[in-house]
Amino acid sequence: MTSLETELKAFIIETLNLEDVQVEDIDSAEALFVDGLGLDSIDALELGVALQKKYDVRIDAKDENVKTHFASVQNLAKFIQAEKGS
Amino acid sequence: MSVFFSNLNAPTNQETPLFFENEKVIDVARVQTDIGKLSSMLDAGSRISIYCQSTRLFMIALAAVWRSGSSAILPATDRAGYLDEIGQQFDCHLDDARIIELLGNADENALNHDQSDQIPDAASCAAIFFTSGSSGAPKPITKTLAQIEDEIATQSPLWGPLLKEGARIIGLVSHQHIYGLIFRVIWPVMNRQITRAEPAPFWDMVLSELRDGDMLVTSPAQLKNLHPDLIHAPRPAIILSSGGPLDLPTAKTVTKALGVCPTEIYGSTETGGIAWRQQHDENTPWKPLPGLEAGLNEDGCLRVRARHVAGDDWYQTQDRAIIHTDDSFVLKGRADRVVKIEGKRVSLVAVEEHLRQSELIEDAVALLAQDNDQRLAVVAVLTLKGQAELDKRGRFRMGRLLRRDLARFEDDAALPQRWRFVEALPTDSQGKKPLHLLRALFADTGNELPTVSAQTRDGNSVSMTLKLNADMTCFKGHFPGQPILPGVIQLHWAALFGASAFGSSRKVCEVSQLKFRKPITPADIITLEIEYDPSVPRLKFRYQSDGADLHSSGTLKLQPQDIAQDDVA
Repeated sequence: MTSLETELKAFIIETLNLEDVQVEDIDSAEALFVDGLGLDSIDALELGVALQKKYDVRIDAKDENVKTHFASVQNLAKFIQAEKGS
Repeated sequence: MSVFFSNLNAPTNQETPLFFENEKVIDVARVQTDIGKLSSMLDAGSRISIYCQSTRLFMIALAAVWRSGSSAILPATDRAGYLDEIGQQFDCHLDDARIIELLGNADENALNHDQSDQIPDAASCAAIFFTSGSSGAPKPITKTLAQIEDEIATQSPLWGPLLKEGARIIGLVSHQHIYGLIFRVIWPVMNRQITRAEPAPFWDMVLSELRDGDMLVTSPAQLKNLHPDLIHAPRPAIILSSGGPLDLPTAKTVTKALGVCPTEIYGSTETGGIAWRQQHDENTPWKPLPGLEAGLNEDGCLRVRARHVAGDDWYQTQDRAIIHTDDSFVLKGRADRVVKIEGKRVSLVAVEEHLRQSELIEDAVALLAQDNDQRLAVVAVLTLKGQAELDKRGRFRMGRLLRRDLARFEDDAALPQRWRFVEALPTDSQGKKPLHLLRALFADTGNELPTVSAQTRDGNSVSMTLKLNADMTCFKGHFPGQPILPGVIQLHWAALFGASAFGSSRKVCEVSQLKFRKPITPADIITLEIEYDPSVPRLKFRYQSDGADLHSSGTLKLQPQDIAQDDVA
């Protein structure tokens, strides 16, 4: 697990005020939405705004790939690294 | 002029029975003598709080306080913490033991035997009740005996004719609240009826004594507990229910079991009775009490005017209503049960109704956990199926599952963020669900405290069942793969739960007789017993599980309250 992934997990927990969830409860490859962690569209919205603020990444809601980027912590980490690298 | 006091004083009434206690009957004369004795020992112009188990002693104290020219403070409970909270509001406190002691000390000779000139003015006899304000802090509400007598005069023509000679009043509700006080204490004297000397909070007590034609004074929470398959029960003449709305299925069950449909009285401590109904279907409207005027403000909230409510002034309620042409009305939920989230109006009642439709949820309350929260919180009781789902998913994922379900009906703004799953919704002694108790469930942000699934308290000892779960913060890393409850947490919980039960200090200054016999694991269902000795002060605690297995025990010496508070500040 990369340190960015751990950082993202803590960030998700803090941003969404997820009571009862610890960093170690979230699997990096686990789906963040619906069947996995169980986040929903409202969480996605809040998370999107917070990510743009903290990591200075552009999230375009019309982008077909947004769904993929947000699918798991792993994907989110890759997305952020790619955005920063570019 | 007070009908209550003149009836107590009237020579012709002295042999009239006023209380019954088992087979014993106590007449007006005996009560009147005790009132005279007690009032001769009380100071005029003071504020005296009264909390009694016995309704007879309560009536004696209340009448004595009024006759001595003082005001009565009526706390809703006698929990030490609660009395401390309202402590600035009174000068001295009377409970059963103190009243018996004072009556025993009374000097018969000093008693003024001619009591006829000692009828106080009903308008100057004040009783101060406390309701929980939105912050949970007790809010004082003053009622005068004149208002109470006016209300009884309004209601007597409705229920009086149903009660035949010899009908008795059996109260399940406490006399410490306005409703119990009206029907169990003042009404019996005004209408010359005999009333049970103590409340009978349990149905088996009630049913063993109930006779045809009696009057029952109950609440919706109590009616809900009536056994549905009751047969051959005596038929009361009237079953009063107040303190909250009665649900239709319960109204039907009670009608079947006791042969009479409960008469609900709608009102509040502030207003007294406003309207009544016997619920036969879901559209049964409320009928205003005789002489009461009802109207709506521009927000559609009911306002009422009656002598016993606010004299010539209108009283504005927060209850939304629709008034029919015949003046009867239906209630549409409280206006404060609509909250604004992200600028959108969200009906908490609607959210709760939708949650209850889920096969996972038995009952639920939606709320804002803090005044300015921008997301809803929910306290829910799960069905067996829901419980199984919770065990599988954990609290957070369970909340999200329910939220997805709710998203079918509700706008995003109404979807709850925080969830608490409990065995039963927290209620006070009147069966109400005060906001501050619900909010307290959200006060701890971490998963730090166990769920209290049952609690019984007897004087200075309390026994509570605690449910733990492996997700709790205290099991993290203690120890990896082999979670056991740390000893220091056991001490902390004993002090914390002791403080919430007894209002004792949370500051421990000495630990002694500490024994750890057997580790506590997340799977254990634990009984925590705490005994409080306020004279030291100290708490003795024991953690046990099924089969009376002792896990640990010890004694916590506490810092006296005032020092502890300085420390906190």
